[in-house]
Amino acid sequence: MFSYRIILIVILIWVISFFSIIDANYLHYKNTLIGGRASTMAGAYSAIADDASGVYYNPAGIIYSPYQMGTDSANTLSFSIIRFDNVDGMNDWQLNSQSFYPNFFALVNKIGPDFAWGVSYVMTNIYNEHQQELTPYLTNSHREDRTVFLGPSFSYRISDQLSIGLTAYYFLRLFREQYSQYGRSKGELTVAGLGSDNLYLSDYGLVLHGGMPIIGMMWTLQDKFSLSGTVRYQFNGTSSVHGNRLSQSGLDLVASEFVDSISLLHKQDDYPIQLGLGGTYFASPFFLISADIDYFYQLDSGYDHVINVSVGTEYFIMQFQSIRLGVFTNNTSLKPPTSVSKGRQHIDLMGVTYGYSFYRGTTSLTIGGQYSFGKGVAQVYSGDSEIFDYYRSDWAFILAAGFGI
Amino acid sequence: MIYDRSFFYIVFFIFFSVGVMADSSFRYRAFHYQDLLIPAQLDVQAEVLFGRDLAARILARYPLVDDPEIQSYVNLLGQGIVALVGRSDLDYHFAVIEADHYNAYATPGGYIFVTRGLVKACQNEAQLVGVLSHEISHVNRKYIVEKFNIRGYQSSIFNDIGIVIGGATQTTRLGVMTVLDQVMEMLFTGLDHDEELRADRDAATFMSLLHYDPMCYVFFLDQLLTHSGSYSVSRTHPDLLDRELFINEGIISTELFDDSCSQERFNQYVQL
Repeated sequence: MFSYRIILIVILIWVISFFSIIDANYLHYKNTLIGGRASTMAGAYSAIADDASGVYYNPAGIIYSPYQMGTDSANTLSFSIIRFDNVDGMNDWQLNSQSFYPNFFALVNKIGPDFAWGVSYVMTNIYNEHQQELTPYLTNSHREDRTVFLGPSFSYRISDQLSIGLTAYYFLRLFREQYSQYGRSKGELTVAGLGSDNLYLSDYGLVLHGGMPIIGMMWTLQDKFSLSGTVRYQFNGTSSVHGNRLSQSGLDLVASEFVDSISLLHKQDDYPIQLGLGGTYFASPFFLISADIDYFYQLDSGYDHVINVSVGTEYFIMQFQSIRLGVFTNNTSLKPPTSVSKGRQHIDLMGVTYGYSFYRGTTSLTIGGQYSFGKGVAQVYSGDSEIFDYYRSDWAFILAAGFGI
Repeated sequence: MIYDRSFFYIVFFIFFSVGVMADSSFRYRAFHYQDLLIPAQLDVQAEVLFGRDLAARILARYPLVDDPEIQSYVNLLGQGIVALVGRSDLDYHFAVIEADHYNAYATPGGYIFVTRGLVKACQNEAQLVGVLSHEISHVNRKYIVEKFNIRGYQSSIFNDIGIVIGGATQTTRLGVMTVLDQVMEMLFTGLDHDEELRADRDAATFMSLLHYDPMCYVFFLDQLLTHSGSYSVSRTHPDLLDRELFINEGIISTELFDDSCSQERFNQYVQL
């Protein structure tokens, strides 16, 4: 009897806590790596950026594309597992997400030796979760969260050593959660009204529009060395939020009932300013090594400043076949939970990437993957300060193609 | 204010003065090239090109002996040796050059020269095979290649010198010319003595495998010991006793030909 009561409490609190879990995902800045070649080098690409992927990493680099016109596209199949340990004293709580999306397409075109433009579509945040559980309640849930960037890019070569670039992104974030729960006690549990028949329905949605300019520069420091600097800032424009919640409980669902409408959904209003530095050593046509450091300066004091580091390398095992490896960090901007805070999650992730490309003429095909993992702490119940261990692991498989003329 | 101005000058200097090259071809990856070879092949190609440059310098100093028969004979002997013990990634070339002193030279990439004086000093084919084997060993061991780090591309970020086959910068070309001068000097003053001794040991092994008598080579070296001309073997190579020691190490037990020194055939072709 007691355990039913506990589980009921847990489930009710879970419902309220789900949104902060989704936001925890959103407040990492490298959840989905972009592009074929770039993503398999852990995104350490801002000082390379000499193909269509450059529009996202550093638009100053696209002027160095070897082709008059080039395209790059990538499809990502991703899985995510988030697990909170021992949340009710007995069981773990696990959230699974799977998604498969064409998450990147870019085209760049050079006009003369000193000017290039491009256009791209980028999906940086993908979360798609379905759950069905039968015990002790019939529970169905569906959550999805996607952020899409779309916009033009420009690059101009100022001198032989220096180029600058701009990408002007419009972004759209779509978030939706639907949750239903039904439990029937057959009149056996009546303590304080809990454990009796229970019905809970909710539907939340968020549509958020905004922009993100990316300003970049690429500097040829020495023969075979390049350095890059980027600044990007994401800002919200208009947003629309809708939400409805219905809860009924009591024997035969008549003891209590409430219906309300959610008018405000938690979201970050002030995104950080991202400052990026990159360096690449082009050792030979067969080998290069690259590194990026990204610093996220928070304008909102409610969030932590973040530093992410990525290092990637590319090696041609044969003239038309290359392999790539990379490591990266994906740290969170959420502050760690404290004894007085409620509903916080804090987890820093570390990841590895790998990839293989096959080239035929000016066409390339890339297959690769990404794995990241981390252990953190979370306050699962938004109304409570109790801290639980929190694990997350993400897999992504990438299929990408590039073309140039 | 002064600080601000200094800062501006520093930034200006860094951005617009330090960059050194206009060419961004270093960004090209292997697949952008039509006929680019894999690194090991590039290294061999660089070795051959480097050796070819050295060979041209040697021929500029000593022209080829104008005797097709002797050239053909020496080439046949050399090709016979490398068919058994040569590197499969090289095409070897052998030639007799117009010089009276006693010496032979091997450049990277398989270009091997024997002076007319040395050939003339040989009394049988085995002795000439010993000399050629010694030089082939230098090529096989890549002594000069390793010593001067001759590479197709900088295969490591720790390498300071590399030879870029295509699109080399002027600085790189000057570096290559300097290395060529140094190697040329080394060829005419002698390689490292340990390298010479190892080549003798290899020569004895090669001769054994080809069923020549390695002792013919020893006798030949003994004969050269008394020669004191400039650029002679006795000046550029170790003492005979040390050489004999290493030759004995290299001898492996094989059945010798009836005429293991090939005196008769040698006399037929070599009439200098």
